[in-house]
This record gives sequence, structure tokens and C-alpha cells, in this order.
Amino acid sequence: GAAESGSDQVDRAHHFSSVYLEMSSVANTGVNLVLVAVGYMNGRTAPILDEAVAAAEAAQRIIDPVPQALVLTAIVIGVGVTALMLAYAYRLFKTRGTLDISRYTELKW
Amino acid sequence: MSPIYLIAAGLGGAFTLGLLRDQWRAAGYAVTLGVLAFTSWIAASWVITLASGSASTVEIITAGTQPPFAVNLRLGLAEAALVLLMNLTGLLSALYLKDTLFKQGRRAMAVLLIFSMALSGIVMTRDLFNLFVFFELTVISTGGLILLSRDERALGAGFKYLVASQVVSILMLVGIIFVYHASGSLNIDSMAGVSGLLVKGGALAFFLVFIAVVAELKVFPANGWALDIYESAHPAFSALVSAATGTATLFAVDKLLLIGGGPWMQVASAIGIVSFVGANLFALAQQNDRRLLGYSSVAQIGLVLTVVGQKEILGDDYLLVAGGVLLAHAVAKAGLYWLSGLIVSRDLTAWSALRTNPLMLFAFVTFVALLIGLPPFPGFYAKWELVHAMAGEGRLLLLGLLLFGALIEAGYLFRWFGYVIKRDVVDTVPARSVVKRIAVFSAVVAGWGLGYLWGELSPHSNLLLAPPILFALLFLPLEWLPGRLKNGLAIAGLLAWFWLSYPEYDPLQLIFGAIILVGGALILLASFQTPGRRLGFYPSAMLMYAGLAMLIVAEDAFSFFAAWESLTIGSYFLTTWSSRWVAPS
Repeated sequence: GAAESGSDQVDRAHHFSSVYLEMSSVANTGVNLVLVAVGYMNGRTAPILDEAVAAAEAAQRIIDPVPQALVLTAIVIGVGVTALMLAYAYRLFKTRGTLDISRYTELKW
Repeated sequence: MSPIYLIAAGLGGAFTLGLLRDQWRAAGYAVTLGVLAFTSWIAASWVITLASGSASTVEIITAGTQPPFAVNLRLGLAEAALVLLMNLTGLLSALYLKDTLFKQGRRAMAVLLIFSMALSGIVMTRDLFNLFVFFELTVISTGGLILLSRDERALGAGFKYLVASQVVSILMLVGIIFVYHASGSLNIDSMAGVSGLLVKGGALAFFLVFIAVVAELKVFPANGWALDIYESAHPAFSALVSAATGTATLFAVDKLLLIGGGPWMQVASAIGIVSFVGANLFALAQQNDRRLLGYSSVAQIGLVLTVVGQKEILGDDYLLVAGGVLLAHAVAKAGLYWLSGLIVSRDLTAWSALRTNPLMLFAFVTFVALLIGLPPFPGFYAKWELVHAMAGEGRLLLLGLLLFGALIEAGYLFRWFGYVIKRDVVDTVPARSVVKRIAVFSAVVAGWGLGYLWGELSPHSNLLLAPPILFALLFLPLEWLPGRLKNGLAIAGLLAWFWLSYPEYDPLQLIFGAIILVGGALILLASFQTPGRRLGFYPSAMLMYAGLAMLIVAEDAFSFFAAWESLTIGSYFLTTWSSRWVAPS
């Protein structure tokens, strides 16, 4: 039992989706968090101008909206790249019949 | 026409393609060519307007707000010229890809349009985050266009490229947000004005952005994925990556150095020269044509990066030098990749097939001369100014490395030329591909046109207007004439030039003039004995005599060197010349 689950884990770690796709989406999410965090200012509110925050006092009360706009764009781009990588993984699987990375020796740097 | 259409037309065309039916391949292809022709026309009209001085640099404001509160794009002369280069390369590659695009359908066409549009965006934008967006659009469309290749290895190469690009984009985003934090702006020109930006955290943030953009350049040795793309992608797409993407990214580095300033200029030069020498060394060992071209692209991009780092000492000559090397490389590399699509097998020796077609051989010689920077091409004028500026500033180590790299490059390119003219012809060039030949010969015309333009722009004489060189080139269109007729013309030319020049000669020049020009005519008399057309003999011999004739009267270092080069090239061709040069077709 233990040996079997061990070999399962090796397979999973060798799998394309584990190695690259998860890595890149985790890293992307991390970067997006950093972006939002940089724009955050203590004690201020969301950059939405309505009855709660008047336009005149917005500059003193809201956090910097630019990083949030950037994150929004970065997320969209990240989804595009991830989708393209999945398409590549699919094509690779169709041509080779496997996604085991140890079978893709030509992918070594 | 507003330059915003350079972006809008590409987007509009791509969306239009999305609305068409899958079966309407011809309509989709017409939209693709139409958009690329339209954007090339806009760029060309701006190049003419800006070069003639009838308009000044255009700022395109978006969202109705001035920068730094909104993204702005800029179109000056340099931007317009590069956008023209990219869109023309895109248009010619689209022509070249006709069969492939018809097979793949409108989606592939839309990706090609987005690719061209994104590259124009990289060149025109003045906003750091917008630059990131256009880079990512380039990455995504590159990932799509790599799949146009039928080579199975292209899949692996494309996946590797996407992984590398993900890492690059993460570095870039983190860098951008901290540069923004330090400067309070995303506008490149505003950042350049912020004093103290590059201390502590700001310096690290800028380092991340800079290194990310340099990694996009695929410099040596961080370029394994790029070489796989150059080797396995469709040659028309490799042409685009080498000529268009490389050029756009170099321009982005140039913009970033506005923020970085002096110390980062040195970093750029250091990375550039390592890439130039290293990639050229590796290119020496290549036998696969497309991989060799890949290494050569990496090397040439390194060379331009070195030049970009020397901006401060080049002063007003910067555009002449950087532009000369950059455009010569782009045209030559696009031409060579397109030419490689006409060669059946991938070994360098298979290029001997070019001998079955004198025009193809001429195209190959043009591209190789453009790459090496032989006169009368732009690289010659550019390197002349560069070497003088560097020697004047005492940057001798960098100069030495530059000359060493250039020597290796000339070495492997001449070896390749040797294969072409000496090896047996195994394959023949496919005759059916008219559109592919149009692309190749457009690059030949562009190369000679740039040679003329750079001759006019350079502070020295225009070599393409020197009568001896023109006379030697005249033999190229006359190659179909019988050898004896050409021999008579050559003798007449040598004697006529002596007759016209001798009143100006001083006694010493007169002696050499008589020996070389009259003596040359006498030697050629013997050639009346030889039958046949003697293809390749007369252009080479007359180029040698042109060099000699110009050497006699050379008064400054530039004319001496230009004459010397012309003499050397002519003699080199003559030593390799044999009646087998052009095989009977």
C-alpha cells in the first residue's frame, strides 16, 4: 500500500500539469497578491466613488486604484497564457500519448 | 492617417476574422493581407512625413487624459521606421505562409494580426505596464504561431518558450509594481525625470524589469528555448521572431535605459558583447541551417544591445549606427529564413541548390554581405562610426571583443558561402513557390535600398554612387550576355575610367593607374579565348578592379578602407570562382 501510493506520488510529480501549470498559477497568484498589497494603504477604503466617499475627499480616503487595475489586467493575461499552455499539453499528449515529463527528454534545457 | 490605426486596424482585422465562416478561407486571407498592407502603408507614410520634416513626433493620448494619468503612445521617426519594418515583415511572411494559413484557417490569421499589432505596440507605447501587456500579447501570439510548423519538435519548443515567458513575466510584473511604488508613475518619461529613483528598492525593481526585458531578447546564454523555436518553427515565423520581435524588444530596452541611465548602459553593453561573442562561437559548430541562423540572430541582437549601451558616446550618430546594424540584420535574417524555406534539407551543404538559380545565389550573397556588414551595406557605415567612437573614447577591450566576434561571424558565414559554391548540387530549388520568391526578393531590394540610404545618411561618400562600384554592379543584370561581349565591355570600362581619371592623377598615381587599369585591360584580352557566359566572373573581377581604382585615389581612412574591402571581396570571389559556380539548370 505505502509503496503503491509512493509511486503514485512520483507519477503525479512527473506530470506536466503538476510541474508547470500549477507552478505558474501559484506564482501568478502570488504576484497578483504582491501587486494588490503594494497599493494598499492602512485605514483607507475601496476606490469606489459613491455616497460613502465623495469625489472631493477621495484623494485622502481611498487606496491607490492603479495596482488593482493592473491586477485585473494581469489576471486576464494569466488566464490566456494558462489556457494556451493547457492547449499545448493537450497537443503534446495527442502526439506522444503521455504527459510523463521523464519521456520528454528534448524538453531539457 | 492617425497612427492609432496601427493598433486599431490589427485589432479590428482580428475581430473581423472571428466573425467570418470557417470555410471562407480566401476572404479571411484577404482581410489579413489587407490589414497588414494598410498598416504598412500608414507606417510608410509616417516615415516619409517625419523624415521630410513636414511633421514632428506624434503623441497619441488615450482616455482623453494627459500622461502620466493615462497611457500614451508615441510615433517619431525611429518608431515609424521600426513599425514599418515589422508590418512589412508581417505582410511578406503572410504571403509566404499562404498555403499554411489557408490550411489552418482564420484563427491562425487572427493570431498573426495580433502578433504584428502587439509588436507595433511595444515600439510605440510610453507606459511601462502597457509595455508589459504588449509583451504578453506577443508571447501568447508567438505560442500560437509556433504551432504553424509541421515539425513535431515545435510543440516542445513552444511549451518551453511559454514556461520561460511565464518566469520572465513574473519578474517584470514584480519589478513594475515596485518601480511604480518608488516613482508614483507608470509613464517611462516621467520615471526618467524622477531623481533618486534608482536607489535602494527602486534600483532592485528596475533591475527586475530590465532583466526581464533583456531575457525577452533571448540573449546568450539564456536562450535554449529561443534556439529551439528558430530551428523548429515555420521559417516564415522564425523570420518574424528574428527580424520583428528582436527589433521591437531592442527598442523596449532602449526606452528602459532612459530610466536607467549611465550605469545601466554599461550593463547593456556587457550583456550584449557576451551574447555577441558567445553565440558566434557556438554558431561555428552548427551544421543545421536554421539553428545556425538562430545563433546568428542571438549574436546580432547582442551586437545591437552593445551599441544601445554606447548611446552616450555615439551622440548624434546613435540612430545611424544602431539603426544600421538593426535594420541590416532584420532584412538579412528575414531573407535568409525565407530562403531556407526553399531549401529541401536542413544541412548547410544542401544550400548548394542555390547554384541552380543565379538570382537566388545573388539573394544569398546579398544577405550574407548585409549580415557581415560589407560595403556598400548599412552595417559597414554603422560599424565604421561605432569603431571610431569607441576607439576615440579608449574603450579598447570592448572594441577588441567586438572585432573578435565579427571575425568569427565572418568566418562561419564565408564557410557557408563556400559550401554553396563548391559542394555538389544534390537538391534543386522548388520552382512552384512564386510568393515565397517575392518575399525573398523584397528583402534583397530592401537590403540594397538601405545600403543606398545609409550611404546618403553617412557623413562619408555614398559607395553606391561611386562609378567604379556601379560599373561592377552593372555586370549583375548583364550576366545573361555571352562572356566575350562582357569581356569587351569590361576592357572598355577599365580604359574609359583610366582616360577619365588620368588628368587628376599625380605622377605616382599615374604609374599605379596605368599598371592596374591599363594592365587589367590587357590581362582581360586573354579571356576572349574562353567560351561560355562565365557566370559570376565579371562582377567579381570588376569589383576587385573597382577596389583597386578607388585605392589609388583614396584620401581619407574611410575611402581607403572601403576600397580595400571591395578589393578583398572581389578577389575572394575570384579565388573561389570556377566554371562550376552556377550549375547548368
